[in-house]
Amino acid sequence: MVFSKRIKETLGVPKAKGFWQNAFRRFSHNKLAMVSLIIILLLALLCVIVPMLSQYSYSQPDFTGSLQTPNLKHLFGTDGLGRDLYVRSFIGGRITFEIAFAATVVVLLIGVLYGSIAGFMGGKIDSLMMRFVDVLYGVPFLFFSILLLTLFGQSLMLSFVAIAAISWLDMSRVVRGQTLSLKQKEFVEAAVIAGVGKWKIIIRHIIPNLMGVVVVYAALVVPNMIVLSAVLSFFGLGVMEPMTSWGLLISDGSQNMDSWWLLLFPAMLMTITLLAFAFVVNGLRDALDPR
Amino acid sequence: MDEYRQMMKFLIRRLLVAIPTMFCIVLLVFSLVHATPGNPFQGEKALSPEVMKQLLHQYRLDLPVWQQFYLYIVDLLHGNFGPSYKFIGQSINGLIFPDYMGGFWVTMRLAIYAMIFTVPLGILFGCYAGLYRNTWFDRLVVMLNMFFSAVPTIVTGPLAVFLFAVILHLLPASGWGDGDFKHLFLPVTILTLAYMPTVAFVTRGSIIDVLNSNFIRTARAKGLPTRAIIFKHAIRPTLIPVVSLLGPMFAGVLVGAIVTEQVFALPGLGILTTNGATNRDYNLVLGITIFGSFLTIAFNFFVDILYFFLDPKIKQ
Repeated sequence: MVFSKRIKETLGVPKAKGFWQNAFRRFSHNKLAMVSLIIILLLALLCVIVPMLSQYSYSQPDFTGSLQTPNLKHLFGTDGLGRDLYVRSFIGGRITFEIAFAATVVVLLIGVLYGSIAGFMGGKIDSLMMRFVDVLYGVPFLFFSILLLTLFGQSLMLSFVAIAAISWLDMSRVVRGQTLSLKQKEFVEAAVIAGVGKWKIIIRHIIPNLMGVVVVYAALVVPNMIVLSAVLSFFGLGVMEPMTSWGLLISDGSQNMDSWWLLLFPAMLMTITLLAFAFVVNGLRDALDPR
Repeated sequence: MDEYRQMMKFLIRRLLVAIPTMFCIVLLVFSLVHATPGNPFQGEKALSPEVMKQLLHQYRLDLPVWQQFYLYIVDLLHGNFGPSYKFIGQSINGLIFPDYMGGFWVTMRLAIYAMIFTVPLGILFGCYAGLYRNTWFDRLVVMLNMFFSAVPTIVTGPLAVFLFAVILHLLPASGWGDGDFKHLFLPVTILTLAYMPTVAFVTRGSIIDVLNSNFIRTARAKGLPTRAIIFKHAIRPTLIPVVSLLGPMFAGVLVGAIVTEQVFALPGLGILTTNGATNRDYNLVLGITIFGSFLTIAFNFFVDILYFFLDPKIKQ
């Protein structure tokens, strides 16, 4: 260790950067992706701060001031019950983000474990596990989600865990593919020869090397979950009044088109978020997967 | 003759995959529904034990689960989804395939219209963009793909309604009407826009790859005119990735049609599913889910057949 360091110094060779450092450098050079990331972080911050600091409550109706157009007191106007849309938009955003991130964590856990186990074990176990994935692929996703929501009732988090538990299919396929190619690498063979157990190889050698792909896919899952939660709100499932979400706000807004602000502001927030995520995903893919 | 034999072999092999898959799906969703505690008639009004027993018997819910499953499968094989739990006295078949314009008929029309526009236009635009790379049209295709694969119909739909119906007063905001052009234009356009850019984008990438490949270079070196190169040699391999996209896309369009119905208040499968879900009508949601899976798998089978004709590698 000391020896190699001294050689580097004498030769003036720049220190080799790790995979993540390189990836970060590539990502930060991508202006669009960086701006998008900042926008997402800002929105997330607003979703935390605005409902905390605002003098208006998201749930308390005020019938004297219903359906006000946007003004200085109510930046986004008020809804039919006189509630401030600015606060409601951001508390809705908070719920939307919470649901999306919680679901993504579950998707990551299941997808990565399932895919890496299937890929590493190979043979009969692999084909059996992948057949099961194929079966789940045959069920249209929305129907399955609605079925689960029907069964789990109005326990929001539970239903989203359930929905996440069926959205790991893509993730597991990608992870399996990567695992299959990692399995051929020398360092895994070396570990096998050294007598390391299967589980330990998966956890210590396979999964850390999968992280590049996994990060890209995780960034894809978040917007998908945002969309799914919004779609389910359109079906009257998911978040319940007086709590709200972007999907519910857009759904309300599309039923009161005469009050344009009810539709345009939530739709705008959601569009910005989803586009920003799309750009971040592109940036991540370029940064982590340089092919 | 040999070709025919090969094709039959291929089809049978695909069927041998499709049928067990369908069975597993039915088993999965059926056991999910029947694993939930309680029965669908609890929590309505207080029913006397005799009435409850009668109801359970009427809907076969007093039998052991495996027997219920067996009977359900037999019913399904006869094309019967069983009775609805909440629309008393109605069969699910009657709800999904009504005599009037509604249920699946609406969804099917929407999905078919959307597919009719999505696939040919997507392929056409994609080829054009790929052939004339880095022109404004190419950039437009890439940008539209970015936008419409990020922003879903539940956002674009209401915005389109707002623009064309509320501000411009050009088109009706919602409803089926009698399925005329005015009522269908917005839903079909929104649904098409959601999927066409993806088809165009995939076609674009595929044709760029194909045009860079060796056999095209050979064709060029041989002195073939560009038109002949594209139509005789490039089109078939270009379409292979596009066709493999169609299977999952059909499931997407089916679901997308249902979401679009919800946005435009059309009387299709969407409203039926919602009713089923909010009334906790398990059998209805179960039936629709199984029906949707069946359509998806059937369509994938159809795509496989297309694949067989397009990709010579499969024949080996």
